[in-house]
Amino acid sequence: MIDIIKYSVLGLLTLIFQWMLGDIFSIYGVTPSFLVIFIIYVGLTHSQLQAIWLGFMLGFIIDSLTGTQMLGISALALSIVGYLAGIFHGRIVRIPVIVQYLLHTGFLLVFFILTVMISLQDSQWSAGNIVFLILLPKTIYTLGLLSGIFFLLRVGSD
Amino acid sequence: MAASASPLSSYKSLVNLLASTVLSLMIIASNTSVPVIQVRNLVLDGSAYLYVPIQWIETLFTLEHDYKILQQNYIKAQIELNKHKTLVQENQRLRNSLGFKREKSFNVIPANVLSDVGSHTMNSLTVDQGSDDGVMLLAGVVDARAQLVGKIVAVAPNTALVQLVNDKNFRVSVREMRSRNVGILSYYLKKGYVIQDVPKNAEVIAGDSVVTSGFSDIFPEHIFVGWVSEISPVIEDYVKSIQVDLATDFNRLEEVFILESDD
Repeated sequence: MIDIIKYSVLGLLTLIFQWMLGDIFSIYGVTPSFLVIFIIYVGLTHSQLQAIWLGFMLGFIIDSLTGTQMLGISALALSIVGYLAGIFHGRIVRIPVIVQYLLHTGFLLVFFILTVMISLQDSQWSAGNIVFLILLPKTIYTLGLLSGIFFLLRVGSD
Repeated sequence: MAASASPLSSYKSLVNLLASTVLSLMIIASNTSVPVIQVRNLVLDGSAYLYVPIQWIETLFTLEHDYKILQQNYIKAQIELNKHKTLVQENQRLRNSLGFKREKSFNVIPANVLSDVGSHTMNSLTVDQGSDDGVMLLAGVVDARAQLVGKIVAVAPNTALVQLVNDKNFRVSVREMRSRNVGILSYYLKKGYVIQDVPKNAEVIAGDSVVTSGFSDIFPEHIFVGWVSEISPVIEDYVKSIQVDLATDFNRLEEVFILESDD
């Protein structure tokens, strides 16, 4: 129970950080997602169930705050990422580092494909531009931050 | 470390994933339903409590500076206003004599910016005025210089969410002031803000002003949008496109004004 409260509070702090200070990390309009890093962290190190439901709730709140036209899409994407990360809960240390990076990239791609592609489907942007100018830069940027954070927190190492 | 997940816990996780997915899809499918809007409003109102103390402290530091600027602007505006009053009266008299219909008039609701969000889904900001203060959905929003900021896309009792004009999905009907041509301004990748399908013989040069056309119920006429920055070559011999630099500085928005139709 204490863990649930602890991770919920941490999740809310991450959300507030993303919402208030996310733009500070923007490089040429590419903003990373700290929420997805947090959900992957919870899924890999703590509990799959919490990752799913924290992902759902934090996703819903961030959608409400950012005013996306498809409320609920981040909730869906984050809960799926939470589930996928949770599959490797307790096993991540036995996986080679290179495969760990590939897994992280996969989680991030799932999240950004669901959110970015769908939210920009009605825009004037072609699919190629969305992929190469938004989706991939966001994924790479977030992966860089995720790797740094996970290195500091020693996620995935014995 | 824990061993691999048991079949039972894997089954439990799948059920939970299914439940959260179904819930998410239900929310997506009922974006405009009353319960979803109420929950969203609750979140928006709750977020205001986080920003109000921060903003209050910020205001304390900038108050004197802002007051001086406001005083200067007020005097300048008064001089301009006196000039315009004469012109408006003359214009009104002429319109009446020609039998024109009365133009729409707007009141403004001042609002403080609580937060701005540049997410991958929408460029938006939250303001501290909501439905309790008379803010309506799809109301236009301008800055202190009456330059276009955006439109209201969600209203809670005490807060509202503004979709900014620099959002990728924002479109607005505008008029280029020299040629008087009307078009839809929207964002295009690599080109920026563009008015498409302008007749090839339209007389437009870089630096011309672009204002709202007044063809929608959201924005009245003559709200300043920006300047023409570049004119593209004529495409297929009959139309060209105009690139526009937006006037509003979105990084420095602290107060905005919500337009409330008198009708």
